[in-house]
Amino acid sequence: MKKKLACLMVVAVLLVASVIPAFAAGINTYEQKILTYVKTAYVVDGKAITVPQEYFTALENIFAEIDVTETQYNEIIAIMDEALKVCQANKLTKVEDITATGTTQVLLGYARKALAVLGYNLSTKGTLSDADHGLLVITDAEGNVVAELHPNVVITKTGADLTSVAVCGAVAAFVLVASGVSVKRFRKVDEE
Amino acid sequence: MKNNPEINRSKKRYWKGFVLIPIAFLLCGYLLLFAVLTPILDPLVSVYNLAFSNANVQTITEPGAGSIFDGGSGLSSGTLNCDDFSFPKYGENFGHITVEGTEVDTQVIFGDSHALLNRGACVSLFGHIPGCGKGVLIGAHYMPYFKTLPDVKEGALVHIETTYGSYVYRVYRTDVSRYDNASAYRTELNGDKEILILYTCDLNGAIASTPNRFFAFCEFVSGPSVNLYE
Repeated sequence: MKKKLACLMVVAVLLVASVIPAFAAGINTYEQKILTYVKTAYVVDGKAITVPQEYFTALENIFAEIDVTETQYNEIIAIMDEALKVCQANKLTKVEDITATGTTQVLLGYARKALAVLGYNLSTKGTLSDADHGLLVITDAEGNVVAELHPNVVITKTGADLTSVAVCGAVAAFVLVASGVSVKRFRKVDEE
Repeated sequence: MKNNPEINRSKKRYWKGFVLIPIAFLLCGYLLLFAVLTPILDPLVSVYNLAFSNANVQTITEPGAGSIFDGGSGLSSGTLNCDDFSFPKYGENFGHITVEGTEVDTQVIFGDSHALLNRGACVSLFGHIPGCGKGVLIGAHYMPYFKTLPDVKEGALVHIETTYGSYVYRVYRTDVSRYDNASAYRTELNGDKEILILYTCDLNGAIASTPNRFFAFCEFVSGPSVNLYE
């Protein structure tokens, strides 16, 4: 009995030890392959899609935190192949073409599927074309934020945010006008 | 003696004059108060949160082993492989920055969402972390973190202590450009040299919204190099 227990414990320790490297930081072979794929495979009409380097840097930063396995790599590449067909069919050669052809949601769908393979979720905040408030949010299975990216701008807003002032100003103006109109109406009815 | 239609009309007036209009004006009054006070209260609430909420307390206690707050690595040269240190998690306070000749002295956070910008200097995911030999992009709110950054002189040293090493950079150029003018920083950010780019709003002491950003470009002086590739 003791021998069996000892044997089980050794197996458990070995299992844990074999799992730990799967959470090691760094960009592994499969992640490097995905980066190379994204940089080179997206060719439309013989022209590689031009994506600014900083987007690859963002991808590197995300890969540095996770470890993609061979199975996950194969699944992701299959999804990216499908996304490539959409790019080719719509002749997308620049990032700006995505919004121009209205394929943002379709491509976001593929990005969601690819991230789901890793156990992550992709959501958006605001309008993506809005430089100040448009945001891509990647969360893990527990809902913890893994990354937030402004897809349209690298430099974020570092001064006062006057959005609430503008919105509240508009609401105040609307309320004043509405009150004025209703008072005028009520007076007219009373006079009649 | 009043007839029925007259009684109905006066009842209607009574309801309108003493019930509906006062309620409508009460609601309008509250809406007006909300609309007028929100822009004033919002900044006060955010300052209160910054000063008294648990956010700052959490950011001080958050870093794990090897944090600069409990001694740090103190490593200022050599090479770190991905297994030698833990890559910062999104939203983690993993360092501290000071800039010579200014009052810039704040924590460094990985990620640069609006919420994180309320906590200190933020490292953009569009750039690398210090030590990778490539562009590092750090931005912070003018008030209170980078208010004195525009006072920096060329040649001033920038010190960044991180959980995995101590880095020193030297300011070699400053510039003012619009936030959406990528050509102002893209070469340095995506180049093969380690360049630290610090930025904040170019306000000249005013409190307002501006599309202009003050940039300080800094060359690498010392610090351990980081190899992220396995």
